[in-house]
Amino acid sequence: MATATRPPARLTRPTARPPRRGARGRTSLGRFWHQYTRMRTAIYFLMGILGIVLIGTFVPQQFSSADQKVTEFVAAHQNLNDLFTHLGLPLTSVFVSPLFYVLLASLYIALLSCVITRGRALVGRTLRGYPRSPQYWGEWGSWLFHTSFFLLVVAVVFGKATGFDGIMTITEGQRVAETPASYDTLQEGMLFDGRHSGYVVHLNSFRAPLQSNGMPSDFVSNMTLYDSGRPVVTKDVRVNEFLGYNGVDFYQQDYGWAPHLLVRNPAGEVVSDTDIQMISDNKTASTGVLKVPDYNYTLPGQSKPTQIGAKLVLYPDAQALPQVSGTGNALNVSYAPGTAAANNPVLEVQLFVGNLGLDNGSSQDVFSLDTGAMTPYYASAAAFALPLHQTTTLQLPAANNGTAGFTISFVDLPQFSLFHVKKDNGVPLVYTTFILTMVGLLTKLYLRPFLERRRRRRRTVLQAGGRGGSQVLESPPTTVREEVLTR
Amino acid sequence: MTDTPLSLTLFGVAVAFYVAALVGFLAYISFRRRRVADTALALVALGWPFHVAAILTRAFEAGHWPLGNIYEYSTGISFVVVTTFLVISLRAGQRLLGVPAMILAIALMAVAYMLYVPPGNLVPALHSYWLTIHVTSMATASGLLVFSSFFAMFFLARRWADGYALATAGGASRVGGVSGGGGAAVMTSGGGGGVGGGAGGSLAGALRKLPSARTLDGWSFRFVMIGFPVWTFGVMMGAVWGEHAWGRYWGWDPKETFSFIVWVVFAIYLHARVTYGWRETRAALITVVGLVAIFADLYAVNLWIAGLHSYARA
Ligand code: HEM
Repeated sequence: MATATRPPARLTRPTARPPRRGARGRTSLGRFWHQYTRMRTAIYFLMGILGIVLIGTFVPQQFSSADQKVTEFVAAHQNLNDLFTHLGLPLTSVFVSPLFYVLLASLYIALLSCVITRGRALVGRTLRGYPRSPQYWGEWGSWLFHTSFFLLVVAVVFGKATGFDGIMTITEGQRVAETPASYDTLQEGMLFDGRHSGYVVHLNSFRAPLQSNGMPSDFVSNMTLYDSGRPVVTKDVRVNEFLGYNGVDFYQQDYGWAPHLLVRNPAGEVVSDTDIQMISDNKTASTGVLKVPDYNYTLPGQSKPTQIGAKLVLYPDAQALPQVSGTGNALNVSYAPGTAAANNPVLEVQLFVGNLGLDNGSSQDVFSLDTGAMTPYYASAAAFALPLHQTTTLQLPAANNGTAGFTISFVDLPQFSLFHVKKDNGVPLVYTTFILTMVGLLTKLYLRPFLERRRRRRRTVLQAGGRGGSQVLESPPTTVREEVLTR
Repeated sequence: MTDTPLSLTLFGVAVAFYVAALVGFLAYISFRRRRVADTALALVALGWPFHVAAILTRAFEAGHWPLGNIYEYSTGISFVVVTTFLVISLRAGQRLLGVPAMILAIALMAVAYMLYVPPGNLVPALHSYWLTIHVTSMATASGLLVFSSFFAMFFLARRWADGYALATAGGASRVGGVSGGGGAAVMTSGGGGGVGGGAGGSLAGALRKLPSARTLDGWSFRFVMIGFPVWTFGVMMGAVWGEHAWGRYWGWDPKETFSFIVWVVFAIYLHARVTYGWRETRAALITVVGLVAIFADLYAVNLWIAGLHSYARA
């Protein structure tokens, strides 16, 4: 049979698609459109998309990588990034870059045009009673595949545009309403009607049982959802088990400690009484920030009331380290992290006095403390240890060279749970296009060869008059022969 | 780790058989004795049950579907590769395929061993049957799609060898004897015609043991035809899992992005096959890009690029 040295077989399909009537050679626009909707052009578009996506895997991306990595990358490749930003492809946000959208749109317009023209032709032939050959079914499969792929994007855009997507933090025992004010971050789609559900969720309890290796085997939020004050669902929410009610879904995403601190000023007034969210990678040590803007105490010789703030480190299972120096340092015992279980919770508090800088708007971040206009409480900037259920009394200068005591108490140690909350009505549509895509693909790739093989087998059996059974089995795989024939 | 789990011992036995088989297949290239190749194939067939047993015992030791970390995953893909190779060899008598198949299987298992994780619990995100469907499809599709690149590389090699033969023999007359039977039979025959001497000549001679270029191209296509829908399905199941576990079916996470890249590469291949000027050499090269992308997806992304999927490390 065929060898590479034989003259090439007949080229049955010199172009990807048969040229459409009137498309070629008419006007320059017509020629452009013809070129643009050729499959070869689609290949180039796909390659362009591939290139951008590749950049996106290797360069840290905003929203999907850690912010710090993104900043580092931009700092290290300033010029390169500027250049690409001018070209419409900011390197750290390629998936939302103008160039990426232009390429996607171009591909999708070509795809739509393809799907419409070929769909029309197929329907026309069906109406005219075109014979139902394997080729015919293959073309339907291909059409269905391309159409569903187009609809997939429609479904995605529809879902994102009419829904919302946010992050919400809830501390154990807390109730939170699903309204914009309750979110840490919230993104609403362009066509979202602005009506949030108002459901109230109550985090009854949270647990993260530890394995022997100290890693959590699971983390579970027990939640109750209230619709107009009526409890409608109570559920253990964990990764892989979300809480969904009427299109609003709560997904367990992360968790952490939220030490409850109570601060009194020298006058004995409670000036802060909150749970402070701590962040960490491994839950054996986590960090957070205490800010008391309304401390309501003025240091002698100053005109404005002072504020206090602290950098906090929490060890849920603090391990005391042997005392190394006896210099009378404030931190008379130092600690190291133990496990992630709350066996011996200790807070290390590094206290600052002065101006929190909240008025200039630069330091609103709840996880960082701007100490630019503050002085450390201890000259050495040392921290002091505050075990759970204990109160530390500290002194501030008072009038007449005296001192005034104030207290910080570590009242309780609840946990907080972080939820991804969203509404996306596009999901069922997306899944439908998945199914249609698979049906189209399998029809194209398998139904046609299957029908061809069956047809050929019938023919061979007829020709061989029954003796050809073994010959049939030895015949080349249909697809291979088909490929050979079309060349 | 003082005592070696049974699964790891079985794993070692399977690797030993495969290494011996690879030596056999390499010897076959130099000596071109059919019996050498058959012995090598027999060694693969002997190693295979140990491979199966290694996976099954691992599943029992760990108490979950054995595709939960990169050790298990690499072992799984190499299992698909070896199984596919065995099926092709037994059905079509192809032997030279043993070289790339065994190199890949052994390399995968070597990496699996280097990244060995003792059997243990899964991280919470992995407790899901969507995971099972998703990773099983991805591993299967990876193992199948690599064969399209193997055949494509053979296709390119055979093309080259034919060209070489043509150039040295100075005409088509001497290669006229090179002919495949048809289909499956082609895979076994294709005896090398008279080819000029020299190192290039002997390499060309060995390569002309391969089935005809067209047959190879057809087989390459076949494996895309099988692997591409499985990959498509796997990516979709991954999306369903992502929606179920994290509330988003797609997030351009590096792992997702790379699976999309692989998918687009093979979609380009399918388009290239029906585009004049792209059908043969370029289409073959695209599957090779696909091969690189599959392994970049598997290792580069897992080990160097952190994302939500990085738990696949441990
Ligand atoms: C969105 C990106 C696209 C993807 C993922 C895609 C995917 C595919 C796949 C997997 C096939 C193989 C099925 C087959 O062999 O028929 C295919 C074939 C084909 N595609 Fe696309 N395609 C895309 C865009 C386009 C565009 C924009 C066009 C037209 C301008 C196009 C035209 C074709 C044609 C003509 C075939 C061959 C169909 C046949 O042989 O019957 N595709 N495509």
